[in-house]
Amino acid sequence: MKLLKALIVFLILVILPVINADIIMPGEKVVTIENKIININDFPDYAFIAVKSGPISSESIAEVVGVDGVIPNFYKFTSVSVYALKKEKLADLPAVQTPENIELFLLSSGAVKVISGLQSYKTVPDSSPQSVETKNYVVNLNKTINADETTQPDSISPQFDETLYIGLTISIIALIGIAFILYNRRARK
Amino acid sequence: MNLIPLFAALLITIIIEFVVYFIIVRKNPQELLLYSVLINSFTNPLANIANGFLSNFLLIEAIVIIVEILLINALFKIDYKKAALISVLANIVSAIIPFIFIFF
Repeated sequence: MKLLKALIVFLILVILPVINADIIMPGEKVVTIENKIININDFPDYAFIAVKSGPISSESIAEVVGVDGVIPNFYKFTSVSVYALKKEKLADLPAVQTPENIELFLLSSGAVKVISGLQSYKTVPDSSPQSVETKNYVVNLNKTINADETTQPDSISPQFDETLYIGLTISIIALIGIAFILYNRRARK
Repeated sequence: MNLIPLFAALLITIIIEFVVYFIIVRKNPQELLLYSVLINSFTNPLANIANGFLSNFLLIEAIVIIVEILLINALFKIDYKKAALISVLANIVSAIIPFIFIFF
């Protein structure tokens, strides 16, 4: 009994500082968020551009959203806003981009902000099988979706890696074990 | 595919919850360890998967606690009140202990 207690204390003291328990643990991993405009084809006369704000890096500041509606991802700590503008104005998008000339371009082209505060990444516990998350948005030219505060995406589709199946298998085996014990108890009565 | 975090989280949760079970129930440690393995092997992987859909730790923990109350009640052959006490304590401890090690 003493040996068992000592073993438990030893395991807790040695292992806990380096690994994670439960789902709240700060040992986290990054999951990519794929943000997508699912009704982009409703606006054939408009182009959508994703504009980043946040830490300055060598990345471009504004990128055009493709016909598939997938909003380009930027650096991890960058927040992204999406603007809609008439397609003919797209030719004026500066080739050499700075925050100032992009802001000026957006103002002069009459661009409408349709989504703000998009994040490209989130963190989940290391033990989570989640690998990617897709957030789908339905945009409206008369309204800005505040992705960081008030507006939930229209749908979220998490994607998982292979550990999902291993986790599910463990759960099913455990449930069978529990059912087996309970069934045996009843059978013995 | 990195399975270490999945199994590490499960292993530590099993150990922590077993200790809580033993402190409260104080009998038959081998049986309690088996129950801890089975209960946590059922709930822990599912909680991690659910976290991907809900991203709401408190809601997921609440569901885990309720499921564990039912399982503890059935396996330990104890009343729901005591099962609830064990489940709540075990899950609070398993959620808090890792933070203690990280911050201190």
